[in-house]
Amino acid sequence: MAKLDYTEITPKDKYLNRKEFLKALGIAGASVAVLAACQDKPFIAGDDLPRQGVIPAAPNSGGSTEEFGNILTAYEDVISYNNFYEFTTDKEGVARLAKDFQTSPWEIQIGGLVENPGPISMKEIRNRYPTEERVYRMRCVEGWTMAIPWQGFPLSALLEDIQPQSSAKYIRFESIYDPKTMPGQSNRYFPWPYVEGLRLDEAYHNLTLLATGIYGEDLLPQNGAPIRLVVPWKYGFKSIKSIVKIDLVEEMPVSLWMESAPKEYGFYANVNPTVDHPRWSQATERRIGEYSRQPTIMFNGYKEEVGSLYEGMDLRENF
Amino acid sequence: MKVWISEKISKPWRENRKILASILHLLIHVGSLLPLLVGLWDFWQGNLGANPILEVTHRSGKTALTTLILSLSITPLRQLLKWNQINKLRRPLGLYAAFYAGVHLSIYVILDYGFLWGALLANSLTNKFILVGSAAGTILLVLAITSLNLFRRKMGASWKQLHRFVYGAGVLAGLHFILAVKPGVLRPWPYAAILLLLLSYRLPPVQTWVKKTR
Repeated sequence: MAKLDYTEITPKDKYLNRKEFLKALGIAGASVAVLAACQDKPFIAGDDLPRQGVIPAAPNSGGSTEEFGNILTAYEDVISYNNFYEFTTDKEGVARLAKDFQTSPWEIQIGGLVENPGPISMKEIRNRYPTEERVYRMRCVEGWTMAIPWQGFPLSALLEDIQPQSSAKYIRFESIYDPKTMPGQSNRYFPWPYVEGLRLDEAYHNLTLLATGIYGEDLLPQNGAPIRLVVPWKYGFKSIKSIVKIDLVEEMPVSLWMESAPKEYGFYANVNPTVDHPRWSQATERRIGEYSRQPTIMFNGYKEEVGSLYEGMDLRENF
Repeated sequence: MKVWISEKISKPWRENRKILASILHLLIHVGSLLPLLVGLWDFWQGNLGANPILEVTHRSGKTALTTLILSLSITPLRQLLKWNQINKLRRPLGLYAAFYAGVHLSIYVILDYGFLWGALLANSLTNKFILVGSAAGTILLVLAITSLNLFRRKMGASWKQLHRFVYGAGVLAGLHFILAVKPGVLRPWPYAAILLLLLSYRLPPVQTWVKKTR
């Protein structure tokens, strides 16, 4: 992996603000403490890269960064700047519209090519799958990025229980469809419900997370409560929110974005600075909470971990 | 139409339209400067949300488009309401449109990209909406400079022809907005609809009809 040239120092006042904020939440030290322990393999395989974020920080040491040393996105930004078109296309309007969204009771219908189909409730999910904390960068296709401490469990844990049949090649996710409480779903341009999918090897990858919380708190509706996918090396729209249905399938699922704008959004949607969106460049990005732009990195900085999944593939063709 | 204009509102209208035009003139200056002042205040106060640069980019762009639309609505209003006094509002509105387009472009080049010319060039080549927006901005800039009386006198008849390019700027500005958002996002369409209406008003058959009814 290429050495990053942008581990610049965050302005101290901002840094202190965020540190104070974390302290207030009472998770300053604990936030990254589980990070190293939860990985089968380290975030970064190369030895020449800064590792300060990977090594658990001592309490109150102010080490709330991701593994490249970038400060985590402020909680208030994570919960107030959201793309969730089920509510509205206005990123800063989602939180208000989603305020009363009911996420309990909740269950996920498991189906398709699996040995153990059927519904699974959030209660069962919480009991069966202990969560761990993972700090991931989340790069939106629009060109902004956040670093978020998620609570979740690997999707592979669920897959081991539901047992995909040998004919299953892909996993297909569906979000909730409830136009009565989700006003954005009255926009008929989009073929609701929201659908996303992964290739099975992507789904089994250790980085692929089913998240139920951020910053030690349960997910809020605007962030995809009660349970969502997080695939950190792909553009944010792949990380489907408020999941109600999971199917194992043989054919490549057609996502909502593939259906709405097939020339602009492909199935893979891997973060890739060299493949532009047809209408804008993907070479740079801005971290929420900062002003200057940074170069976007291949697979959002997770090339060591996921690059092998795409060996021999033309990523321009499979965008 | 004729009846409506000459009978129904004619008397109070004739008496008050001059003063109304002056009030409108003042309102245009206040209303056009307000977005700048509010923007600076919000920047100062940190009220611009999680992505402040994008927020001010959007605000300046929308203000540019709004003032451009208002400037394009002066002639139809003047003709339909026989309100010649509002003609003088066209120039300040056009200048505000050019000003906010300049602010919009400066935010993009200076604040957003920090003069990263390489990235800016790459963007201009790949991003249709950047090209379209730049074209609209260039037209507005040229029209703003040549709006000086000096140019108006010197250019004679060709001045009017040059300033018809404002219609092109309108089309390009609307297109710029549409291309900048994801498909299915409806925010540009109210602007586009009004622009379409105002531009259709300039079509020869519509103009013939307008002149007939006057």
